[in-house]
Amino acid sequence: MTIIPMIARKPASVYFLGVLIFATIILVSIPVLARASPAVKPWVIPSTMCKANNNCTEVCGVGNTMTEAAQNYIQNANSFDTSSGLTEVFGCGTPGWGYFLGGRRNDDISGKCGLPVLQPYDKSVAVRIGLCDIRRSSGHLFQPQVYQVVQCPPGSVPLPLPSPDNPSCSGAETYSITLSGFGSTEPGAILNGLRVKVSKDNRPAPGVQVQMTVDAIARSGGHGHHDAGRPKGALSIYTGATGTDGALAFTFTAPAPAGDHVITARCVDRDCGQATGTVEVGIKGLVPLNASPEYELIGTTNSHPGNHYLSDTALYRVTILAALYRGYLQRIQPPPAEDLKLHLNDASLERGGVFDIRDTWTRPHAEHCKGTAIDVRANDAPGAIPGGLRNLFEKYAHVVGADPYWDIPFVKGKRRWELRHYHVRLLGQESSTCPN
Amino acid sequence: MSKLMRITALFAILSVGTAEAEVGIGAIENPDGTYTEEIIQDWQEGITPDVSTGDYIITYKSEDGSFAQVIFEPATKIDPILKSKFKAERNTGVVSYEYKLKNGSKAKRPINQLITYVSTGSPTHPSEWHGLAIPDGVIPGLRLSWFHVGKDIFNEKPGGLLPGRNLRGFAIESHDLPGIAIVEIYGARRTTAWLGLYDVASTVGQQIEDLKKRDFIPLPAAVPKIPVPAPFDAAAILNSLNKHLDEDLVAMKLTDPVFAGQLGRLLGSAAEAARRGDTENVRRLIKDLRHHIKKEHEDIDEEEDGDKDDERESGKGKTSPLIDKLAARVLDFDLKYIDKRLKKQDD
Repeated sequence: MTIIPMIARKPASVYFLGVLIFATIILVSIPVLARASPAVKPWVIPSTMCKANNNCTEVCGVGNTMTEAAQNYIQNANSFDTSSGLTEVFGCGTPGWGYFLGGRRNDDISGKCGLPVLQPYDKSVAVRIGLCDIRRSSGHLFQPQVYQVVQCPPGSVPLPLPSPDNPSCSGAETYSITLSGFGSTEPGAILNGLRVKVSKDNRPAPGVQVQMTVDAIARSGGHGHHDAGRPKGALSIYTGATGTDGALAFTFTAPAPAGDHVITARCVDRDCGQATGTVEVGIKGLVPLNASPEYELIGTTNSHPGNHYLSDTALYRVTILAALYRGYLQRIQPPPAEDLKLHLNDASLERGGVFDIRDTWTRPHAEHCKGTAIDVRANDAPGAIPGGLRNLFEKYAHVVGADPYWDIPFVKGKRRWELRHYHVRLLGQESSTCPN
Repeated sequence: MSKLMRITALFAILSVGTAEAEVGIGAIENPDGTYTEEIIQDWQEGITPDVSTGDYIITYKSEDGSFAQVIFEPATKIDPILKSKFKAERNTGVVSYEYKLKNGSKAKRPINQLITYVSTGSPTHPSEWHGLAIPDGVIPGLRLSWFHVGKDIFNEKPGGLLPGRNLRGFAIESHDLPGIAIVEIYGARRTTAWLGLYDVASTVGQQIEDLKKRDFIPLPAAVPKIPVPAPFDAAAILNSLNKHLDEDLVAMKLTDPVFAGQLGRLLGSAAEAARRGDTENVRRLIKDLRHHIKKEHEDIDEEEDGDKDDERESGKGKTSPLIDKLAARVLDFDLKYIDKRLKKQDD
């Protein structure tokens, strides 16, 4: 054991309020502490508890837990102090923490043990102090004080009263963590230029281990349905050490569905707080196709409450297409019995991406990911394009620069005639490239 | 593009290798329009021409994983000839463009749609046809379409300009001067019923896309293309003309690139002279330009009788003129227009 025993002359009953006082009378082997990591030290009962031993360098009980230290103390004490009569540990607790800041000290802070001169140091030390109840053979309760010394990391300071759950001293560190480079990206694309940076007093902190996590925000991206099985974006790095500039660069690969993703970064080896940032996955600039007398909007569901989002140009083209189609039919003589207008079904969600009509986060509804394609009813349902008008519709589609596909969905090799419709590429092939 | 080139391009498409055959379930469209469904067999994705009909048999894997075999009738079973006429109205400055469309007797289908791009203009159309010019939204200018609409709109059969017939009445008026644009000419065809969408990222998907992209007969025509600024700016028009020559006419292979370069240098000089206000020099350069052009086609001033099937083959005394006759007529017309305006300014 390298920790020089700490002398505590305080009455055993004074423990919590004496934390700071205890700290000042603790003698620490500074050279050793300077090399020590902030990891938890063994619990120690110093030699002053050993009646027959005035050597303050001796430790009478060491253990990984307070109880273990106390049990070892009994054994050691009994071995050289037969009068101690220590018999049983029946309770150990943690009354509190003490600390002292580093500096040069060479005074005998206890006045009892001929303490060695402390070496110069600039480290901070936090001391966790506990008490154990040890029964003497006489039945008398004895309460040795148990110490645990933790050296704070270079440049850090201990908390005035660190949490017992956090012996690392770093709760009051001035380390901070930030994330930068956030923005938006399209589904399936990679967002470069993301950085996590750790600073200490606004200066880069190299070599700090950081950890990142990513999560999709529920019901974002136009999906009103459950999040089970929702694909999340992927980071190029989830853990790593900051470089000389205190930063660590990484990328975000967007999933096929649109939505917001929150990235959270923390330090692994110290407390630096946490930083979060949001990546918006989606197609920018999509606008809703509003209701109009020229067409009917259909297909809205609770799962996908906004199913008519399009790019500016696509919206322009479908609007003109609908107006031309209806306008022509209104001018012919005799006029048709019903107000024939296009019934416009799914286009894209508010930010594009996978349009999972079955709430499965996959894309059976192909090409509806960028606001450049729309379905038009062409079956037997009300308002559908009659079979006799398909040629007219296709010509008008060509007039506006759109490419109509008369689509009869097949499922497992079986024709679903009732689902037939026009799938209209409003901007040509561009609309057909959707991420999987 | 010549028919031979188009056929070569098509075979290039079809010669692309496709994936190996795959066992799966699917459906087949029969020639009579019926379907045979739930077929389990080896499916070979690809496009196969049906020599007897001129159609294409397209086999692909649809988005749901099942296979489909559909019949794609191309819109190119036509034999179009498109002739352009244009003249400037004396008092209004409006240029009138008229087109005569012929569908050759070898065509198998009627022509039912023409599409091109113009800078500005208002179209008119023959009976039973419609004409519309609307902003494209992507390409600057207007997307001009003429398309056939049958009398019985609710029972429309694929109609249009029948084989062996010709039709006048396609016209557009504009304040802009003529340039050359490709007119996409489409034949009537049966609507393809896609049995689920194909994956455009697949090999066959790309082949289908290529097939659809070329699914028209491209023919050049004189259309409103060169804007005439108000107030009149000869330098701007000459620059536009130079750009059109350099970027469009060369790309369309309507002129020899070296010859285009010679004309381009003269146009550049003329534009620079116009910018300086050196009208005399501009007119001299225009005269030079017209002289160069007329050396290739001496008869471009003659009024077209509209009956020659392919005026591009009518270069007098030259087996291979350095510029297409229609392109020569357009350039000469534009240069003459500028010269007249400059002369009017001087007067």
